[in-house]
Amino acid sequence: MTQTSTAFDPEGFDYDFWKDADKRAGWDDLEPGEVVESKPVTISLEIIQRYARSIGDLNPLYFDEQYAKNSRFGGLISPPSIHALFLFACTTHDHFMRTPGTVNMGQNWWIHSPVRPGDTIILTGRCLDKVIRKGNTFAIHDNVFRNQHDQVVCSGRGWTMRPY
Amino acid sequence: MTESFTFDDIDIGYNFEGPKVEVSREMIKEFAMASFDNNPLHWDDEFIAETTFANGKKFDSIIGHGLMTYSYMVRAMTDWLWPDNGDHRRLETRFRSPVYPGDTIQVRVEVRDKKETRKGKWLVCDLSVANQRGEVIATGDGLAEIAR
Repeated sequence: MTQTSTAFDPEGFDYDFWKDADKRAGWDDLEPGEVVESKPVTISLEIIQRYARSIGDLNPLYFDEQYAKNSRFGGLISPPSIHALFLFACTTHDHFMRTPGTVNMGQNWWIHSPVRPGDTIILTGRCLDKVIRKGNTFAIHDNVFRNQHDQVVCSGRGWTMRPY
Repeated sequence: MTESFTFDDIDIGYNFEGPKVEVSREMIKEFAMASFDNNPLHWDDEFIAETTFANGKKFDSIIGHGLMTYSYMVRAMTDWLWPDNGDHRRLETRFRSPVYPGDTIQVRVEVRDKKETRKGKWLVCDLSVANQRGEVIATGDGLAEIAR
């Protein structure tokens, strides 16, 4: 790994997806197969629990340290769908997934191992293919997330309809 | 959490209902903040009004995140499998219709197939999510790895 990992700071995240929107790759600009820029981020317990609360999932494996410690997981973990936030936390502001009007059409994800508080997540992501269907433009992208031990934590593919 | 079960306890056709969720604008906003996906499709009424797709269709209002629906589908699996019955391994979804604030959506899971491989015991599951009008807004192909 050549990049320096940082603790992901939700307060520092730029939620304004209109900012520099014109600099993001449109469908014409996407190069299938090209790996996009990403950054390793360290995921805190606070981020995991905030995400779990947002989906109404109060499983004690995310919140009760003693319960989790006594489980087969040996400690607190995150919901398997936590990769939803990695797609944004690990990418830069000019990543095409932030383009206003991007519509998520479908996803498939393989969950290899649970993400734990303090894990540093590294993304290898790319637009894998792009198609036109019924006048709309779509990108097919794949993403592999590894932790600081170089173990794959989840991998998957998604379809998004592109606004331009 | 469900009772303990083994691979042999589950027959093809076994089914259950997962989370039932009444979706509000506030929940969509909370998910946007927690997942860092603040696309204006999820909060900007003016943007929605201006957005038309190639087939001429428009959204009726802001929409919930596809991955929010996905998270409820995954939760159906983990509530069933954790802590000791097994693990949720895979979910492939298609988001077929938008979820709007005010919708009530319900996840359903049915075991479609069983398979033992050299190293594992697997349940292949059909997942669906329907709204209060009975419209299927998402479907999924799930895979559970069973512990015993």
